[in-house]
Amino acid sequence: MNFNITIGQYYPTDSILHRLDPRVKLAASLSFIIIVCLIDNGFGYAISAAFIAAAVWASNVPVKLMLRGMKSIFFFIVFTFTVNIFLIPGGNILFNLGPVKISAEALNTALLMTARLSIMIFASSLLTLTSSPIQLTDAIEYYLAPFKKIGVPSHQIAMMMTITLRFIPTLIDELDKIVRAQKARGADLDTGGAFKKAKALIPILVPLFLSSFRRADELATAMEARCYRGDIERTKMKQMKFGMQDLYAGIIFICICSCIIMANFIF
Amino acid sequence: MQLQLDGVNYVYSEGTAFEKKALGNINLNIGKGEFVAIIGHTGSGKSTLIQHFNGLIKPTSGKVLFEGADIHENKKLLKTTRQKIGLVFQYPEAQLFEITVFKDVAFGPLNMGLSKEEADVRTRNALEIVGINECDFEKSPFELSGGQKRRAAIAGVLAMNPEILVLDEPTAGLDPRGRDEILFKIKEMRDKLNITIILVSHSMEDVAKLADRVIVMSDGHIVMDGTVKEVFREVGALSKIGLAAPKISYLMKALKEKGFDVPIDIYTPNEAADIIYNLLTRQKSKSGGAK
Amino acid sequence: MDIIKINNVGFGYSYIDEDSNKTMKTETLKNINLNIETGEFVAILGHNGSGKSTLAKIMNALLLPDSGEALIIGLNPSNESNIFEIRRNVGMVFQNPDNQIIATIVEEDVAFGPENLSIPPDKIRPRVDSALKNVGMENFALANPAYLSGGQKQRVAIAGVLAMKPKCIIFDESTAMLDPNGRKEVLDTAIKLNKEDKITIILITHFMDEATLADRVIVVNDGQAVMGGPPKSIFSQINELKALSLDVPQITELAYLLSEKGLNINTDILTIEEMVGALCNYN
Repeated sequence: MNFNITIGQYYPTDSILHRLDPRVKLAASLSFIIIVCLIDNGFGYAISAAFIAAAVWASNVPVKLMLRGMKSIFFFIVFTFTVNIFLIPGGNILFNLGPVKISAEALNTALLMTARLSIMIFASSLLTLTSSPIQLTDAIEYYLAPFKKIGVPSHQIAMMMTITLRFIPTLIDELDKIVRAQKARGADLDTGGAFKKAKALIPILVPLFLSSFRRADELATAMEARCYRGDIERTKMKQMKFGMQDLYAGIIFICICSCIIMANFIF
Repeated sequence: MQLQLDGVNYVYSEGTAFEKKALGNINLNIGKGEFVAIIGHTGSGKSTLIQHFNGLIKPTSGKVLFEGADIHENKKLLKTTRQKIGLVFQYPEAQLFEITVFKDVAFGPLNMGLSKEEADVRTRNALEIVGINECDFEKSPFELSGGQKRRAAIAGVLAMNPEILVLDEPTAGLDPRGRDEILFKIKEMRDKLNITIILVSHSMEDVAKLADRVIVMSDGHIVMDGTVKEVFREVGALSKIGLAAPKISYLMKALKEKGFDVPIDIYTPNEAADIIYNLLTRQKSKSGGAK
Repeated sequence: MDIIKINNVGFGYSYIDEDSNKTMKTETLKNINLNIETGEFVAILGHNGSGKSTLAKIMNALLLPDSGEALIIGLNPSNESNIFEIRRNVGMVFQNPDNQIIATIVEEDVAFGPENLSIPPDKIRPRVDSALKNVGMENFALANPAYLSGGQKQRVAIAGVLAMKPKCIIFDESTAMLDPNGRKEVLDTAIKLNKEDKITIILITHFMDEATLADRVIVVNDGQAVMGGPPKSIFSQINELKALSLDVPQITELAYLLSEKGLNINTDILTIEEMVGALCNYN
């Protein structure tokens, strides 16, 4: 089994994007993704794409690495494009491929969807590539904090995310070990129909769940031993700081977004 | 030779930034009925090596031969080899998953395509060998004590009737009683079942007690291969690669340096006691005679 | 002064008896008595199920006694307002290195304790830096703990405890899952903290060689402290230890075998040097 989860993994280096306040980055990526989903105009997409390209350049993350991480999603983009182009009916037939007719509407929608998806993926991976998981959870905790009053456990959500991120490599490692151990006992994981394959997962999943529960239990004890009691009077070593560069970045971002939206209305 | 490794090299994540040579030019012959210990510190390649034995890892180059046949020649051969070379991983109790101990141990034999009756017989035998009482057969494996769980997991591999049993750190994390029970059972398996046993261990004392032959791994290579006496004699060479010989070998060496006439290839308290006793009483009778 | 006093403490875990369907309690600790002095290095031995890990959890108020009294740094854990003061002062390093690290970056994990103690942010940073330095992990401050060795992970866990500035650290089988090198890393750190920083160390272990390094050894069996004293006096009682399914260090075993054969040799020999000395001066 091969586990490839390089997509969106934090790439530690120094760049303007890395230094920005994660709260700014999180808000910007989210609003950017929403805007890209709402517009349907070629100029708007051109500006968005140019902006993303500039951001990639500014992030100091090697483009090759970014693209490699997206390999698995590339299939999804191609799939979306194909489905759209073949399945959307339309009157204005551009050309025929045997029995399949491709209309101008279909091509238009397919291109639009592909552009949206690609820009969304680039925007979100830029966020995760330039902000450490801890920074991201801190940002999420910050934005959820106002909802604490209505019962949203913002601190608990952030803590859960941190612990999940912490244990992903450990559990992948563990999964790999269990697979090997069961293979050594003659488990056949590769052949047979869907039912047989699903059944073959039991000897893998049961031990994995059991060990996760045990880990969770031990971790809870360890956290208690280190005086954890939720977010009661909890402080943070690393404070998020909103500085001048964050202000400039925010202003530039708002300007660009305004251009994109205006392009949508004008053209 | 029962198991033979011929110029085996293994490279992790070949062609990526994480490329790492894990094994380099391993040549190894293990004969039927041998008790071989593999020692080396973490990262020396021991775990990678033993996973080559039953084909869980395919060598980047070189061959693994079981009874003369290349185990990677075809899928069928690979499958039968995996049954004949049983591999018990570290902390094997982590793979227990069935509702009862008995069912869990029967998992391997049933995977081999044996009939239920046949699998039952083997399961029963295996549990008996590792010393799990019949009254515990229908218990959940998770109700057993730490040492029992470990032994049940070993039975799960043993029930496949392997001709070679490979154990990776079988005593890790157990208390002294659990350790002794497992070691005793391993010794018994070798004596009664007459199977080849390959033991990976950090405990030089255990190795000294059980094994006939010791293979020392360092940095992906076999750096020493010889009888227990031959290997533990090389205290200096061992410490250079971050390993220690059993405590008693250091004592014997220190005594020798002090002028005592003792052999230095001794590594268990019992042997040492005999030698020191004989030496001192002889000395005494000599000096007594002179008086 | 005693940093920990355990007087007649009883403790049991609740479980449901299958036959009667009633809630029952185990007898894990049976009126156990022991004291740990400030600055001591104590090893606790006992086979699995003897109650030693439960004892450790009583010592830092993760569990509260059912009966009897525990006084830790002079405070009674039964009073809830004392619990955090006790946990801050009596830190614990657990067995599985993977299951006690919370953050994805070493220094953030070390900061976890002080953050829980409401220490102001600018005061946490120096604590984290000095704790990491103390365990020799300062070069790994920004590393991901998942990719460290077992011994390194345990040293990060120790740093996490140190950042709370404790008076006492309990190692609950912290070396059990490590290789010999990792074990040495952890032990050397424990000894250094005891000698240089005067931190009381309680080492729970299955490795007899580790226990010989302590000032005092306590043997726990069936919920009670059954033996106690300096390592020499404990390990020379080879038959008693074997009866409790415990080992003795190999050199001590040799001394015992020699005296069994009738040689006039002390059975409290622990190290190679002592043995060589004893044999050189024989007669």
